[in-house]
Amino acid sequence: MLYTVLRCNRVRSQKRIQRIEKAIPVMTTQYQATTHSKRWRRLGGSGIIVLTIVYLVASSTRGATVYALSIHELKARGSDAYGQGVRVGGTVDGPSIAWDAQKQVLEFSLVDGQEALEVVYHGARPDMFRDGAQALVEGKCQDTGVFVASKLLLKCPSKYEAAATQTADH
Amino acid sequence: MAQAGFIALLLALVSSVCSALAFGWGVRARQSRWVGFAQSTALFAGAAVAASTLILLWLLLSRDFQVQYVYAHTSSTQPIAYVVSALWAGEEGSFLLWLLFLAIITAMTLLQKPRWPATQWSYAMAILMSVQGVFALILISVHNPFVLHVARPLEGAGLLPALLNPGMLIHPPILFLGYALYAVPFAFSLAGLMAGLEGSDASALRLAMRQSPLRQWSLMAWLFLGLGILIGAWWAYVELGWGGYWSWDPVENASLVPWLVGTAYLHALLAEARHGTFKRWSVALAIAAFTLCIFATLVTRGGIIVSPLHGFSSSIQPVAFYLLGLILCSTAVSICLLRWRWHSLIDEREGEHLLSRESALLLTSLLLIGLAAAILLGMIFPTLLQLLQGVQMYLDNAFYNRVFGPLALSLVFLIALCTVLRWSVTSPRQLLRALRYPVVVAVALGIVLFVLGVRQPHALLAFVLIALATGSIVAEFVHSAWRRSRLRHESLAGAAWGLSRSGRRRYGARLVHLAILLMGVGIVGSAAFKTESRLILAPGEAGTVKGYTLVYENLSVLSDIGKHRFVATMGIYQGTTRTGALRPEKDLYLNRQELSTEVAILSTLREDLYIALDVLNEDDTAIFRVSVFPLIIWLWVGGGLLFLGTLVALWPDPPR
Repeated sequence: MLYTVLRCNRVRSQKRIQRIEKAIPVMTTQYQATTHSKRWRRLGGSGIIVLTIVYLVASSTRGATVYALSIHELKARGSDAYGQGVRVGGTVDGPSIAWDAQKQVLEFSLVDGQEALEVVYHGARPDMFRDGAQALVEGKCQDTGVFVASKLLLKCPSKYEAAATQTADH
Repeated sequence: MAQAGFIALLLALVSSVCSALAFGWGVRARQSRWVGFAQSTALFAGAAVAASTLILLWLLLSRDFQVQYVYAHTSSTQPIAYVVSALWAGEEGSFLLWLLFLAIITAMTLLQKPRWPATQWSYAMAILMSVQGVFALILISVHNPFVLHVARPLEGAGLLPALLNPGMLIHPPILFLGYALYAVPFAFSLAGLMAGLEGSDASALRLAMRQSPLRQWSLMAWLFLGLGILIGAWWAYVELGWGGYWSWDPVENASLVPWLVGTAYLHALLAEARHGTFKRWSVALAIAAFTLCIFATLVTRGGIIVSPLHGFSSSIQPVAFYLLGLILCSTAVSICLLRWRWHSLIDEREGEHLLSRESALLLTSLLLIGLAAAILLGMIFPTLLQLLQGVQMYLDNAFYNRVFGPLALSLVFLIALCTVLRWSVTSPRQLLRALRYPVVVAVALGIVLFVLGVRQPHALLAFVLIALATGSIVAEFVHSAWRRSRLRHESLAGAAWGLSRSGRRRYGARLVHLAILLMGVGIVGSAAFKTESRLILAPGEAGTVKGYTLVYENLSVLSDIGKHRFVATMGIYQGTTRTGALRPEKDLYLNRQELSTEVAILSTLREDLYIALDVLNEDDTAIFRVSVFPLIIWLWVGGGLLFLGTLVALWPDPPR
């Protein structure tokens, strides 16, 4: 009884194998016929996606750029630089620091060589802000010549650079 | 003692180079004697690296301030845990840690020898030992941690206050471990290509490329790199002034890029193992992931990219040339090998349909790589522009947010699709059938949120897509469990249990996807609905922020070892009952004369109340920065689930 069942099963599976083997040449020819166009279709599809991503990236750069200038370069630009996103670096001049704790307004001069820039920053005074600190301000130069910073970044001398700074976002 | 450490490094360099050469020669000339020699030299190199790390650790623990590295990163008042963490606080130490992890990983792959084809294994070991050699060379020539002062200073400078955080104990080592682990997929993929050259035909190559240890290694690398990034984000969140948990800073981006590429690699590897497709992808992505890890080290340590947060000078450190050399070398070799073997790396099956899991995976990989490339472009944009046009210009966060949003949302949508799509082909009807309940749930959630007052279109769309993806994962699981229970006459719970046991890899991966979605909830919630306000209070005064009444009760000054702590107590009231208190503080570190702000956070499942003591005046009036971050806790919970899910997927199968 068991033997017959097993035998039947074997016969059935052999038949199935034969059926599959018969189908294989058909499948291969189909495969060869379609593979070329499929490959092109796949390449085309991927191409469209890649182009979309490239477009997304390219369009995202618009309006998101900030010029990095030295104080000298900023002054040299004169009125051209007004209202444009700029990042400037320099050393904080201690005597010039004026901190209004009530209104939370920080005014100071940033010095780079011979040139100095007056900066106004609205926001908290960072912990590491003091005379001689290396600072980076991001913002816009007003037509009065005063630089209104929306971001104030500080660096303190250290080897572990990942921790060497403190930022204060406006 | 310090000299001994340096000698150990020298020995490590010499033996790494010897070992790499012997491995290479042994396998080319088919001389097992050479391979045996290379094996013992590799172990010796590992021991030398371990010895020099232990020596540095000993110098740190004994506070030998004559060693410049010890002087710069420890002080006698520093808690012991942070003295240990000083091991990776500086450049020298972090390169030593990189090398140590490489050495440990190499030793582990040495033991795995029986599980790999012999030729591929030998080539991979040669590559791993060469990478080790480069790192040993960097340590000896430009970042020697064992340099001595002429005299012995009485006290060390100590770690920066911002580094005295539990994040410092775990973030750098886990991140470096992730970087170093990517060396294994890199080495074995390249070695597979090389071994294929030896073999007679493509079948040898196929064998070399289809190895399950590779999956485990790359999953581990992916896990540790991801966790490292997440812990870094958490650290930035709890340490005030680092701009929240993510600020698209080059240093952060540098670690995200290899992780994204690594994610694409995992997906390619899956398709390759299950279906014999994506061969070229998986080889190229494995190489790219490790090269980008080196690039990340170059960015953080080499000064090649000007980071607005982490440094101003664009002075290129000498180490940059070594790392750049390593990157260029490995890229060149990889491209040559890939070109050589390009036509042997044929997909075993073609005939893929548009609506199939393969094409969804291809799309996923493309989007992940696109995202990584966009972030990379943002990072090198200033450098590129300076080289090309001489202008210094940066991309601000608006760029990253604009790019990240749409791509991340498309990826979430793809999670929903991929879960229900089958291999080879799925008919649109099958797809719609599988997705009908998730779609209903997602749309219902969208309507409910809209009625509740969520009106930002981006956030609404994001929540709906996240719900759709979550729904499709849950629906697929319930459906499979239901089918199994019908077929096997089991209870539904029993079937669910049996299903998750038998398909541990699959359901581990599903768990990881759920974790990513959960993290998405945290990111969307905190990014779209974050509020921030300032309270100027004198002791005894109260202010209200988003339903919380905060009373500035008192200010106490505590003297601690090495610092004075100014602790403000803020009572939190709901109505007239006091429900708790938060204690934000400002610490004055005596040895550096530096102030550090410590925030206080009240976390609930709904939102985080985050108070920072921004300014403290002489008369004890204070300015508090009070922020509310809705749903942010799910970012960290998601991180935990990610760890769990990956462990489930990684757990070795029981022996049969």
